[in-house]
Amino acid sequence: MSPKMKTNVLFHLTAWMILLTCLSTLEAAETKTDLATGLAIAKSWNLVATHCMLCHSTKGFTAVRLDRRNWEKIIRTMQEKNGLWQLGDIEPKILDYLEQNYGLSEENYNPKIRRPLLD
Amino acid sequence: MNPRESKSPIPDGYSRRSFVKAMSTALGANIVFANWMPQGLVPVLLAQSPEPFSIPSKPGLTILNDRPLNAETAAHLLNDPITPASRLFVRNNGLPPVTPDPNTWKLTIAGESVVKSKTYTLKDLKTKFKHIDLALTLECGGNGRAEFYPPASGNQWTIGAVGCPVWNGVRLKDVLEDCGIKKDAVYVAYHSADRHLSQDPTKDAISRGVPITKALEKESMIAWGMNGEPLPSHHGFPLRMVCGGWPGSTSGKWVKQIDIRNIVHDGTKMSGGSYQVPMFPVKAGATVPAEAMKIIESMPVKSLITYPKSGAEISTKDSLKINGHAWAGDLSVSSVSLSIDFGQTWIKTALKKPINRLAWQQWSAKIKFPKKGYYEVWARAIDSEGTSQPMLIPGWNPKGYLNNSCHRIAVYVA
Repeated sequence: MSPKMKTNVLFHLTAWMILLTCLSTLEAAETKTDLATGLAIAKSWNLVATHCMLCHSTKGFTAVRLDRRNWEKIIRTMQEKNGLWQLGDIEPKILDYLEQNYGLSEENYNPKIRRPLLD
Repeated sequence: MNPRESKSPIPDGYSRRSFVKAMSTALGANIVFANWMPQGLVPVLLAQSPEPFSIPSKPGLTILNDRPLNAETAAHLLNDPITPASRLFVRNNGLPPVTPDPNTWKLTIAGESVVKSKTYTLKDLKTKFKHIDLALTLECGGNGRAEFYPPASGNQWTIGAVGCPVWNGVRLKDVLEDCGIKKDAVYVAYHSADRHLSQDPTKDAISRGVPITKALEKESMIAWGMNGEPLPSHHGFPLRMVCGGWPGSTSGKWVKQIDIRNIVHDGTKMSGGSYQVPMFPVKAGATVPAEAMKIIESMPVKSLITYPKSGAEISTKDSLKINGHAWAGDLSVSSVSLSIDFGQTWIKTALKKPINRLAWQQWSAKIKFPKKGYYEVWARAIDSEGTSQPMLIPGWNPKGYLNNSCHRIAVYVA
């Protein structure tokens, strides 16, 4: 690989990261959702964009509400069956983000759904 | 590869390892990448159009996902007895082939239990075998998933992942028998031309099928047309399987190969809980071991109110004309009833016979409302074996399949 190519790639990556950061700052003032990715703007949202959107859009999972254990199951399935790489120390950050923004909390509860009794 | 021909935003010759290192640096975090990584990995792919997305050939459909493309139809848009292509839901697991050529398209019949493997062109299929046209109900196994609690991952289908177009093609049975079926045949499975979302060429987006008994039914088809037109690209152009009454995923699109297997097919999305439900009722939210799951076969009895649209207004002087469809997987529907008092009393509707086996059936009624106010009309179908739709959501299952609870609409009487 030539140094020119390396510079080229680093330039593109850096430009995107700066753009994403700028977008997040701009959007945060008006709306909590990033228009380009459809993701809730919160800590580590760019990590989710980077690692999850290469293969699929966010529409499929931002409509879902899961607890942390089930979000972790999704990541495992993506790794075992769909070619997602090991996330290392990024994984807890992504799980924090998913749990906080797409978690199964009272405020996220869809009141149209009748809950099972369980007890 | 010639660099000028490369469509990847990563310059050729740029090694994966150094790219990963660059990504890690850019992200300010240590990434422990492993295994396979897609070509073209660059944040350009992160961009998702902020414009509301729609499918030009399918105005009015609700988009649930744009990569992969998944869209459902509102109940009131499904009023036609035969679903037009423009109103049929779209379910994709992967990336459809971009420009399939019907002139060079080939279908191979193979597998452990085929006597003689053969390959057919579209022309071969059209000239060699008897043509059939059948209205077959196709419903996504996950239709109604949005109502389960705790929620299940996947497309949050509400009510409209169902339709019943007329399919044009040949019997799957005729083609399989032309090749010969060995006595040990168990399952018939498809392989398709759609690509896995990761673009890994070694992975199938989906590869499912049906037991040999279902495959040999006279309604199981290899179809090249829908409603007299070539299959639309969203629905498997130029060739697909259609197994009416079973989860839509058994009806493979863009089919290239059909295997007669001597085992239960073990392709992508045949295991791991995909299109499977627990063998026995489980507590909502439970973790169910793989050995306690079974493959979904025939879909359960269900109905839709397709006219009027929910929120209709009517005067006490008038009768409300109301109609819809009902279907019951491999079975037929024996009755459809309506309730305007939250299930306390039921009014029987006029129910038509299906146009052919495995087609949905039309029901209709006229209702007088006793006084002014807000009403809900509930519809409940009963299948030919006496099994009814439940009023409320049926048994919870990990992936949110088979919600056949009653459909309801709001009616204001003034």
